Amino acid sequence: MLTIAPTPTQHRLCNGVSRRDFLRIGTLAPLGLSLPQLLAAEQAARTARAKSVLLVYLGGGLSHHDSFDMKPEAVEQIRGKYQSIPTNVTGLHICELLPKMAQVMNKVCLVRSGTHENDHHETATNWVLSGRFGSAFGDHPAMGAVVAHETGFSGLVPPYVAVPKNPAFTWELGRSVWLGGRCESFKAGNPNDANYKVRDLAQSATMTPQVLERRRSLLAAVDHLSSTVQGNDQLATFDEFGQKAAAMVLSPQAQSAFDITKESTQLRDDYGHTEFGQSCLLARRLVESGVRFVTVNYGGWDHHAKIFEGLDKKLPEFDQGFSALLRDLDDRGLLQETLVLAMGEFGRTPKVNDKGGRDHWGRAGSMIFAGAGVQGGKVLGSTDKNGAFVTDRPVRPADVAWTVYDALGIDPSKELHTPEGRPVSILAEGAPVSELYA
Amino acid sequence: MLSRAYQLESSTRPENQTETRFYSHYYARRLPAEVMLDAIAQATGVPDAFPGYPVGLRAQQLSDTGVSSYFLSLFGRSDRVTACACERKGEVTLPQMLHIRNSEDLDAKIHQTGGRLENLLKNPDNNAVIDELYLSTLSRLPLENERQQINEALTKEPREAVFPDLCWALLNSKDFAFNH
Repeated sequence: MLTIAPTPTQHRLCNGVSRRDFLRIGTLAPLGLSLPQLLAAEQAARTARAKSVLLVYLGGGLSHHDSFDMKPEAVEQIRGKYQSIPTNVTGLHICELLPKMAQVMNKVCLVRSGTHENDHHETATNWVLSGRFGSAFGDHPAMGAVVAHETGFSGLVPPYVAVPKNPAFTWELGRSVWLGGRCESFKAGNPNDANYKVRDLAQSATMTPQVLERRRSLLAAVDHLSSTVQGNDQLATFDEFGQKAAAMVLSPQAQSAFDITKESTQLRDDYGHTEFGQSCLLARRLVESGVRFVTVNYGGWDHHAKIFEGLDKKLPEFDQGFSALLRDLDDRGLLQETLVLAMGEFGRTPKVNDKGGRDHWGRAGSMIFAGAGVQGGKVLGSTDKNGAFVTDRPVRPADVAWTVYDALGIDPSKELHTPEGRPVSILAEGAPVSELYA
Repeated sequence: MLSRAYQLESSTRPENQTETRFYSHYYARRLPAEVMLDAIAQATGVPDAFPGYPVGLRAQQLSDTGVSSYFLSLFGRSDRVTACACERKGEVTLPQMLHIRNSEDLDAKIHQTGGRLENLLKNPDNNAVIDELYLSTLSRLPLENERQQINEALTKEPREAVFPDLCWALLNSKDFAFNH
């Protein structure tokens, strides 16, 4: 008789409870079921499609005209120099420099209708990474930080990891902002380095169990400030992460998560010996180890001049690494439980400029979703004949973020509190891109 | 300075210990990046060498934020590229804790030939060495129960093994890392 989780056919209010549920609550009150209890039950019933999210961030802005939204019918100045090739999805053509992606398009949903109204790197990056519009310096926590806040550690691997580091043009983006240092991304470094290891994570040979035990007991003897001084989250974080750090150094799980040398030579070759390729491979290891949100930061798409010279080098790198990632995730059964998302902060202008480049263009851009129930071989949304404006199914930054949170079972309308006590909902607007799944 | 506000006590009392917003008592704050690096240099007696600057110059005296230093970047020095006060970060993060708990840099400073510890160990009086280590890292003498536990460790293992680890423990303590 009592339905705790609203069925999809009912109209849901923003907090996931239908009007009918509210009426039912009224009648249940005499039985002792309060609204908070009902909401808690609803939250528990929220089903996660994905265990993890893997974001490939194409910083600078991938040109959709020269990759996934080609306009062969347009004039030369717009269509550019590349030919399109067929893919393993009937009727879907992509750029000739993406032959490996062409063989895995059946695993992804291509969204050609990403759109917003900002053409500034930092501002747009903060927008697409958080789902909320704000200043260039970042007013809102990035999705990864919110995920870290909501899920916490799984064992001894950090919930939010950036490979090799957070996106940056001049200053660091993708930060936790008011969620604090506890939710900041853990930077993995460049796994394509010859002797790659995460700084300070490996245990040095001189650290025998005897030394470690002596240090532990001496530290316990001298470190008791938090018992006399209180009222600050930093002290608690210092204690908590101090213990985490000590445990990670000794944990095979944490060490192994970052140990890319455990991958076969064949697989490392498949991903390509580039920073991006090996970053994708490490990201797969991290997802496998329980990291909830991985950013593979892959910048360098800001081709204001000589775009075709730039893309001649970049696209094959992307093609190899990203297609290998999708195949590998699928082969291991991880794709079912991982939401993969590739996007930049915007697309690029339709007209090739007088320096042979394309400029910033927030109005239209392509992105790729895969995994966690996303239907493969599908194209969602479209742009006009020049690739300038979205003509069908606009997908805005808040919709992308909503989809990400929804996939992880996080309620985007949940209210968090800033250190000053200001209540802020995770997202202020948006809706899940439900067509991805059906 | 004679106003009522200045006469108020800053210590934590039972009635305000959970308060974190209105400055009813002093909140411990992590040392800023440069201060912390200088404090480690001073405590260990091993100055940092910043490329392009004379050895012994303090991190706080650096005129240039472009100086390569993993420690300063990790602990949130300002890059001075924006006018936002948020550039200087006083937060505590996991990589910071990995660095002070497990970095070879800190161990190297503790064991440095000619560093403070090596000189202190010339003194055979354990209690004098303990006092000096406390004064140079925490600017105070050990509490009786602290001294007792350290002396207990010294009865079990050689002082050459215990003192470097005591030094490490003091530099890893909240007493050291926080203004309180």
